[in-house]
Amino acid sequence: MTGLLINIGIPILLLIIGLLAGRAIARRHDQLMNKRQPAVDHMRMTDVKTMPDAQVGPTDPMLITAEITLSVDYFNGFIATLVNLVGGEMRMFTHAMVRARREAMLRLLEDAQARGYNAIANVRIDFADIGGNSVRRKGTPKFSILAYGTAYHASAPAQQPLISA
Amino acid sequence: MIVVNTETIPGYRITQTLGIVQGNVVRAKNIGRDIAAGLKNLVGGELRGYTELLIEARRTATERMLAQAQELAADAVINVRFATSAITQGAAELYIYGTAVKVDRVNEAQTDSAVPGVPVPPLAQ
Repeated sequence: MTGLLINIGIPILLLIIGLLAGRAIARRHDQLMNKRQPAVDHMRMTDVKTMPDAQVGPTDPMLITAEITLSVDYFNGFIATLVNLVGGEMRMFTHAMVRARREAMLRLLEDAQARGYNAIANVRIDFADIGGNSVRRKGTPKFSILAYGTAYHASAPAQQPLISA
Repeated sequence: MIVVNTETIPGYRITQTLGIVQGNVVRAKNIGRDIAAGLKNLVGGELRGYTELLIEARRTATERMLAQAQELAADAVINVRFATSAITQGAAELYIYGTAVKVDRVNEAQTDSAVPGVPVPPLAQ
């Protein structure tokens, strides 16, 4: 009886912890990013190879990078295995990827701003699988993003925010 | 050394291309990070240990590429690309490559993408 309780009780406990804590962490992350967003709204960010409105500034253009590794919680990982059986969109993973990319882009913008630039061109956002973790069968997947671009000085600031929430 | 992932550098004219320079690193995660990440996996959120692993790998690979560029006496590396490949479970390669070039300073921001030494192929009819 005790054995049964432990066998079923512990996974259920983990699912509940994952559900509650995971949701809180994801929500706080979104709120934090919303708060950081206005500070970089004036930055210009493009993924074109030429640098729009480039001008000779006080510093040379430079390559900047941003990394992030994110995981979903135990509960969502469990739900994902269920979705795997019936097919369809894995919404929790879609959202995790969106959050990871947004965080990476925010870090790029903040890095460029801290170095005195006001624009980033040729932004590339890659899925980096360092550690080989995201493909393994066991455990919840991890989302590693490596974003990079060239920070430079532009003559005109961006007219409107380039990343929507 | 100017490093950019665009084909041109505002304020500079590319005078000579020296060839491709590259740097790579294959890194494995360590068990301590794995355990910490396993705990964090329960509730989700950022796995800082892995983010740091990625940052270290990127730094090492970039340093190796820059050492090659310095050997060629390059002024800049343009059109830099990152690539990752999962070699085995638990280890991955981070690869960075770009074109080493010599540049001259100009006063106007340069916007054309003509790289000397690389002929533009004619358009197919």
